[in-house]
Amino acid sequence: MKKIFLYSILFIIPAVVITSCYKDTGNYSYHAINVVTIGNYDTVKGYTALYKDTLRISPAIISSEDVTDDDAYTYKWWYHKSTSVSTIDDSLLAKTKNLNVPVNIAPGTYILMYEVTDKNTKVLVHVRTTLTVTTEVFEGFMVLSDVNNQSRLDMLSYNKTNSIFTQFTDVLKKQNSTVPMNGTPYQVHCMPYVGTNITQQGYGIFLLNSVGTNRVNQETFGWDPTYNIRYLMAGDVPANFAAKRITGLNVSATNYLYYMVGQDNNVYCYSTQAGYAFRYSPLNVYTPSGITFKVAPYIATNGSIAVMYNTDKKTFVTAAAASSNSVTDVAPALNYPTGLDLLYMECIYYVEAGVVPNTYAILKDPATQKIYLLNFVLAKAQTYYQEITGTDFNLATNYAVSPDHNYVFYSVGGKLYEYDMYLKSSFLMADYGASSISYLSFPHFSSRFNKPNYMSWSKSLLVGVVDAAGTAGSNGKLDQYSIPDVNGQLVKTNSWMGFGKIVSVGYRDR
Amino acid sequence: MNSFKYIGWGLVIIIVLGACKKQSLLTYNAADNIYFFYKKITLRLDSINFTFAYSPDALKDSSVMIPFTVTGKPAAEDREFTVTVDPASTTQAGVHYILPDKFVLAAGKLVDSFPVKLLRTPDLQKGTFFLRLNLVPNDNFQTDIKSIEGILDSINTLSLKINITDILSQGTYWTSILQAYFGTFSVKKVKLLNQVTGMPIDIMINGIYDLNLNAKCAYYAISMSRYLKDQATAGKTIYEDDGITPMTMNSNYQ
Repeated sequence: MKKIFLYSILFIIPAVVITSCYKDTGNYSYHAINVVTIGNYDTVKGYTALYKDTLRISPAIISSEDVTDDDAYTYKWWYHKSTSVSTIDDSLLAKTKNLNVPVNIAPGTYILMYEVTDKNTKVLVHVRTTLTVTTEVFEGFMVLSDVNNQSRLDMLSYNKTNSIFTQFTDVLKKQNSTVPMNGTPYQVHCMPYVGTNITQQGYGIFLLNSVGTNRVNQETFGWDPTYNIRYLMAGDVPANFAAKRITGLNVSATNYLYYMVGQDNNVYCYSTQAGYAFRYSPLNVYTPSGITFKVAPYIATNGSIAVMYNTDKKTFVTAAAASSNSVTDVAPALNYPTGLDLLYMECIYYVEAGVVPNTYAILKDPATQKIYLLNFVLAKAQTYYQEITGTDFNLATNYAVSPDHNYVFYSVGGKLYEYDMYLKSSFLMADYGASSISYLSFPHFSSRFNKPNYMSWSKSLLVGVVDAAGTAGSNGKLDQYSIPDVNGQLVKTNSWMGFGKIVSVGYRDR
Repeated sequence: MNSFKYIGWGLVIIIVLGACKKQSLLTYNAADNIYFFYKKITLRLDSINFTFAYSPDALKDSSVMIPFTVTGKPAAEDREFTVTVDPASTTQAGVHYILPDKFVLAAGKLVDSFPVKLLRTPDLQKGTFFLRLNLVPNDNFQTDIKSIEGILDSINTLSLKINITDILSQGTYWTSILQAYFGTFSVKKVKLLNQVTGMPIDIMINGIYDLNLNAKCAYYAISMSRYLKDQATAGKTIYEDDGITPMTMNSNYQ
């Protein structure tokens, strides 16, 4: 018994030891798995869809193991705001192989992602491209006309993909907008007024006319009473408050500055750095609670300092900051003239490297009737102050200064002149005969940096012409000219017809 | 004899195997305790500050909910507990406050609250009074949890102090934000600003949540300055409560 017992232990122990220490040789036989690629998916040009339309994409699933059954995979379509890196901004569109969804995404540019997962191997493949959601009124020139003393907004809607302008006459009627337009038109102004750090929808399309000042919805141009300018004002604002003119500057993605001249002829300031509202306390005062002086409706600003003109005292005044509540007379050391009447002033400025707030003012001596041109970089000393000796300059009704040439464009009736500041002479650039020029400007874009079209258009002159003999509402024309060097003849780059008497042109930019 | 060895080994094996009994789990076994559970945002506190100052004049009373919590399992029926008023309290029952008749933890709950109705008496405008409530043991609950370590100090979980006042105080934001517009704080100034310009009385505590605060304050300060100047010109200069100092806004808004 003992022997059997001992021998069995002697046998069991090594058996156990031997089997427990088997070498794990591993499994070295590999086999190919299904490798999936996605075809028929445009990663170069991306996709464009109209807001409220249907987006259809049918990608091809190319499988290395010939696994073609739709059910062999799971699918996911996502879109994601293109500037964001956070996955919180990912939104699921569909879980089907092909995409066929209504586009209920606000207009803009997004990243579109498509994921395919093999149910068997659990391997995931994904591709991404850009998705642009547009509307028919995505971007373009906004042309405000006077039609029998009423306001009408037309739009030259620009399609960036094929570089075509489509003209929409009475675009507000087309968009079923109810914004009050039954007054004499003053201005259309397009610029953000609140940054995306506060709200996604902060782009302002402002319409100023004699019955009121209102914004319209940035995508649909719709209107309701809360779009009235009073909702952007802090204070006891009268119900019928309206503005004559708005000057705005896009200082940065979160910093917007506005100056508004009310029909009460007072200046009000709005800044995202000073409470996101127009302070209903006039800025045209020397002490915050002081008496207002008469101010010319032209305001120059570089984003912090503003320059205006006191027409009572006939001197330039300056507001020190966006939060200022009063102004001071400009320092005598700057050598700006006093005692004159201000006919026109504009500050041509974009917050871009290499651009300075170049300000031009046209002033008239009430005693001698002589007209002078003043040029200064905002808040610095005057660098040019000379009499304007251009042809019929005293008869000019519209002015526009070129952003990249020393030319002051002006119109006398149907004649368009270019006044060269240094040659001190005028060149006749266009003669519209019996028609008259109603509008001149170099359009200001709220942001043109890195956008070649906007860069080029901001330096091109827009001329609004009206033929008194024509039918009201379609007797207006808009010409666009590029400005050559050395006083060369202007080159007409675009021409559109069918407007009313053009009063103001803005650009709804993207 | 050899068979003894085998039997012996067999017994050892059986004993060893038998000794490995599965141990039963230890479960919670203590009395149910009750204690106050007041938190402001995430900070646990043992006093509540209540003010009537920012409410409109028409408001004459308000109820404060006092949260409490218990240990142990939720019960299927309501359970009563006992709250006493500490004699050190400066408030008077029925005059400044009204307590509920019974204090009850609702069935199925572990965290609950009871209301204390506070009454807005005129003496609250002159000073701050307090009501101290204490939890005492009864049949349903013990009070063994006496304190909890908070971030700053030890929180008394059995005694809750409710400070009550109607004094309009300048709050945390007057010196940091509002003084730049309105100058030195005074109750008379704030009430007059509210009357003349429409500035809300609770701007001292809620103003910071308003995106348009800076623009509105600029407007209020300028409008008030104009009003004060007009009064002075008409020979009716407005003075602060001391009768000597004329009321003014901050120098930037005069």
